Amino acid sequence: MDISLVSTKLGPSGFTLSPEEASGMEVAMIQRQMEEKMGSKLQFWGKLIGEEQDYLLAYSLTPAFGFPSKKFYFCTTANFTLKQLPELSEEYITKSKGVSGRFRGDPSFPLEEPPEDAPEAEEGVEVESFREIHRLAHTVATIDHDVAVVPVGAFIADAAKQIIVNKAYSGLSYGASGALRSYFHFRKAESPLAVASLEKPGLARPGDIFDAIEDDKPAGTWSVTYDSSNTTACVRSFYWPGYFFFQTVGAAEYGGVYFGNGLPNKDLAFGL
Amino acid sequence: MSFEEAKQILQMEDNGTSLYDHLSQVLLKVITEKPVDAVTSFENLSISVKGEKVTLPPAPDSSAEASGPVLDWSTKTAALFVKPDEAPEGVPGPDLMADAGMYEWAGVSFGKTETYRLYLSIKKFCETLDVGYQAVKFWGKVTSRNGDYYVCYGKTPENPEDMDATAMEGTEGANKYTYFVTKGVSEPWVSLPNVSMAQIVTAGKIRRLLTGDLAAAVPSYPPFPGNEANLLRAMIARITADCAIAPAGTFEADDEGLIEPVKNDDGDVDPPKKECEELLSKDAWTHYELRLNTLGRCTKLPEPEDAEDYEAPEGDEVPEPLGACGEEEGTDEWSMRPCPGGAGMTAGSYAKAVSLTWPGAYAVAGGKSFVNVYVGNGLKYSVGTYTPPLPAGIGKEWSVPEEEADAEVEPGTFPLEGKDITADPTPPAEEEDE
Repeated sequence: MDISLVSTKLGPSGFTLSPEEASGMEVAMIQRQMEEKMGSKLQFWGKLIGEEQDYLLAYSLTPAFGFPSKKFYFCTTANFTLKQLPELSEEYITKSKGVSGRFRGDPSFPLEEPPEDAPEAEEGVEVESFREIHRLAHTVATIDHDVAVVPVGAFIADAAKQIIVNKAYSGLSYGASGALRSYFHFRKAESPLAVASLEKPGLARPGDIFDAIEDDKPAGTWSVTYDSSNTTACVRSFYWPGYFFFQTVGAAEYGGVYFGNGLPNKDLAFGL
Repeated sequence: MSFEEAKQILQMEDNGTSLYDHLSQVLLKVITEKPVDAVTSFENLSISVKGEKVTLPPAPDSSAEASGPVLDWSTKTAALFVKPDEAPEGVPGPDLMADAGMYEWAGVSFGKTETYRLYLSIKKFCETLDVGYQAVKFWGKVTSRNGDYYVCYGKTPENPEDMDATAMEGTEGANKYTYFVTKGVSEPWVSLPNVSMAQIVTAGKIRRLLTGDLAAAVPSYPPFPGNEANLLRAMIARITADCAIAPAGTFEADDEGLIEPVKNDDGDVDPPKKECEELLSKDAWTHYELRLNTLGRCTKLPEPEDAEDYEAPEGDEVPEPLGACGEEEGTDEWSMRPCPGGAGMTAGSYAKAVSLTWPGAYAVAGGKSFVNVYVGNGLKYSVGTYTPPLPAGIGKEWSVPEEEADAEVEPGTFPLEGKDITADPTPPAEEEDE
């Protein structure tokens, strides 16, 4: 979501960025955006709470064939300079899945013992090894895959079946914004229905190009409620506690953030 | 082909309209709405023109469905802003707006305008309270599957009359405070029931999310003794016991273990002034509420009056009041940070304590003030996957009452069923021959 909305729209979630975090992140995002000459604004993704420091995360969307490509950037609350999260090899993905427990908040924290026959590190050269930054990259990608949400109609498929922002999106009505079926996974379509509608010739309706969050298992992993004033719809995930998405009723104002410790609620089946 | 001919082709009727009409309407839409990406979204413009023809565009959402709840909320909330004619009585409320500034440094906010409405809501509620509650403080927010509970609390005035002291603690222990919850600033505040030992213990064994309805049943194993209001109250008790921390020296305990704020010679509450640097170590913080033991109590079980050789059950221990923060592994892990830190840090910076055990629990302190707040789903951090406890052992079979168990059945053997009586015990009297 747009970082300027953090102070005004996240009320129902109970989370916010402290003045220090918000202003540091604002500068860091503009800096990264200018340095990389990005075509569109960097978006705020969320905060991952660690034991010593927290991670602040942002992402960029670049048009790409099929689905826009997402790049993630992070910084810690100790140093507001955004860096891109690394691409992960299969090996590191497997290793990341095996790590449990909280994050430290130190991206260079080693998560495995270096092998004994490792070459001596030269001065000033860091030996490549599995570190928290890799786990962070995997966790962020997983959370984003599982919970990033868009309201129906906010993105459309053009004639070439590219997913593009719908500039004519004007929000959802009161009834529609309070219904789970109005929200979709903001990821490359995976369900057969959505994939098929993107493959078949002709226009695809906005409700057919993404996977519906309504189909997620177990039923009840999502909730949609109105805030107390009934003017904003709030979508929450219980599998990733801390994911919060809002859609202002009748306006093209929406956004999602994650504020949590980076751990899923694996006990969800016992909680519903 | 002449122009007229081409136009004729375009004007051929198809389903009641023609391509000519359609294109002109699309162009009209482009001209009136002026989308910046007309070429890219041309197909969508075209389809929306077609769609508009089949079904009229929905009128602006003025239905009763939409305006009803919003109007209802605004009418009720507007009442909060009405100044009462007479000076209100009741108990003092929290200085929520000042506290909210400190919450914000911890990363907790309900939105500026909503916080003010919450402040008004609590203030109004305080005016209706009995003075026995002394003062109301804000506790935090517990999220549920359908709407959230705002929580505030006041001192419990007195123990209920029919309280069983072996099952439930009174005002000296876990029920020191009475908690009030509401689901929205314009909704009424509801008092939560007192919490029993069994509820605290069971709440620690289950991992249920709240449903948003206080009267909802809590289906779980082990069975939770009570409904959602009781579960919420038990969650609050557990979080308060673990997460109510304050800078050391703010509170003192008397000989009986009663924790009171430190006062100066004039009898006014006067905590010591702290600098940020000191508060960054865990030793600089203490728990100012009593901790819960494994029995779900903060105080010792009362000894029965008649028993001579009474043995306290296992776990009947009382943790020292005002224990230092971070002493117990697994229930009491914290991360202390300056805010602002980095370049913005001064001696006057706040220090925030982030609970790692209870995600969402924070304490912020600086100068002479401190706040505690919780925003979360009421679940404790756990490393592994939850496994429900195994069922308890099979209950004992009923035994033979002593008076029956003497001669016929040997002790320890199962009483056998007696032999069936096959002969008619009351044979009809033989009729005499006449």
